[in-house]
Amino acid sequence: MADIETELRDAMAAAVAGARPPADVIALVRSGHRRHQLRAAAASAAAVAVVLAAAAAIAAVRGGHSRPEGGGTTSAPASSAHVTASPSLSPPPPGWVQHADGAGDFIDAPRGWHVSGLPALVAPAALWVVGTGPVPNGGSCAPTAALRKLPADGALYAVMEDGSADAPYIFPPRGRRLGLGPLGGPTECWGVKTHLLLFEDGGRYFQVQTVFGPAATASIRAQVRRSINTLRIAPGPAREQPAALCRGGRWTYCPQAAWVYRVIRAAHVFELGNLGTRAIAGLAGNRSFGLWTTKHRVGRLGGRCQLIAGTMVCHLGHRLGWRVHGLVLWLQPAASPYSTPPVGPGLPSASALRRLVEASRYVTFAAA
Amino acid sequence: MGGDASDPFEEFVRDRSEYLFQLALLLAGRNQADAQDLLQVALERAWRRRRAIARDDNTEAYVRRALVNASIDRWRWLRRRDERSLDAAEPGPAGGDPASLVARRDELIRALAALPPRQRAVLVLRYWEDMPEAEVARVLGCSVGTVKSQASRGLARLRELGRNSAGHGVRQAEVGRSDG
Repeated sequence: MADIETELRDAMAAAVAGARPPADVIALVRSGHRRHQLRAAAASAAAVAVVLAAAAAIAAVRGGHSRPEGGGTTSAPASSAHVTASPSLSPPPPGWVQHADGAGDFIDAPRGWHVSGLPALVAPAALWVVGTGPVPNGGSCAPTAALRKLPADGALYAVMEDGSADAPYIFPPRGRRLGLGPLGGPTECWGVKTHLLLFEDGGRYFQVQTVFGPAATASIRAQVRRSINTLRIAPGPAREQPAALCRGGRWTYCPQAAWVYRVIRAAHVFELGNLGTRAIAGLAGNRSFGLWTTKHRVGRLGGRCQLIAGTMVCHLGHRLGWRVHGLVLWLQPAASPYSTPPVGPGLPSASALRRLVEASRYVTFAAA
Repeated sequence: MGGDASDPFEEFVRDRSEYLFQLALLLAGRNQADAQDLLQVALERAWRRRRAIARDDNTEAYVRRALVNASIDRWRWLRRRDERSLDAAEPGPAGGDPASLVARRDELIRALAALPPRQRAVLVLRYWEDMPEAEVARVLGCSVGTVKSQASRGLARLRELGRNSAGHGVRQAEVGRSDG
């Protein structure tokens, strides 16, 4: 018998001979990278919102200043992190200037900073590009002309609105305070690392991207944060508010969809858009599937059930379901709008399923 | 992130994705879906740092290390779990070829898949990649002595398995799951 090292070499070579990766591996990596940025930003914003909500509650108990809740959504399911929408309009601080976009939206910035209301971006639509230095127009999907003029000690940020918001669940409701969002990248279009902040305000969906020069001071950073927090957004029509859309049966606008998105992220499964407003599309390996929730049913789910990660997962026809947090989370093979062969509809592999089941248990869901 | 045909990272992926996928396949115990997951995770990590790693001209080393780390992370995640897939995605024998050589190789690969991931990674890098021990140590972030001991223990388990399987066939449980 040959020695074990030689046998092992031959066995490994034979085992992988001719094995080929998915043809669209580059597209998958790009998609995953983009989603990763959005996920990271959403997670950061949600965490900040939760902390601030807790702080606000403590302040209220101590008799501190309290604010009215964002209006009009009292009967809708809402995340506990949904503290407030835009602050009420007030004069800018001394030495600052208020800028309006003519549609009821406002932002304040220090006098001397440059604010372009016509950044000429094709997509997403930019409300303002603000810089400590010159802000010339130019750029198709990022203010690249202004970026080239960024002083070493300066800052540049763009407030952009995602008009389509085809994935509303990745935009957490605006909290009491906005941060800059996590630093990541180099970011798509910008070509440099940017802070990315995502939030929903008044039924509209925003991303703020911020870049600092290498010599930007803490004071500049603080001023940028303060400026971003002066954003006042005119709310969209009542019928377009997430709570109203959720009540109307558009599941991707419900807090449950935001929870599923967090579960997907925690399970290291890729989010590949959604299947209309009914389900989120996930991808693990080369298998794509839809995920959605329904209300907890009384009694057994039925089908063939098996304990996975301490949770009873049932196989009903071609779909899987399990109970968690008063919901039933469903998975079903589904073609994603972004996937191309050899990615195809299928249930997740054993390991991906375990990750999803585990994540669904430890990612909490709290409907109001 | 347009479709820049001259992007060095994309060129790297195009040139080396087959090799990287085969490495992922061995690290994942020949499970295709897991291998694709590993490759995707490793390439995404590399994509995020592609400029930095391109400057150091070490993209392949970075991705290789990311693959190994991802396989170990995945095993840690799953180590307390012992459920089987509802869709029975376990890798099985290679097509039921009766030839003894094929059967023996299949046994070895299944035994390799049952080793702890770090031990498996040492054997894959040492005997499939033909890497020197010092290079394996660098990839795994451990000492050469650890590589030697892990390789020795891994081979010993495979030998033991070979003896046991001579008359009784392979049982994965015999390989055990002690970490190294």
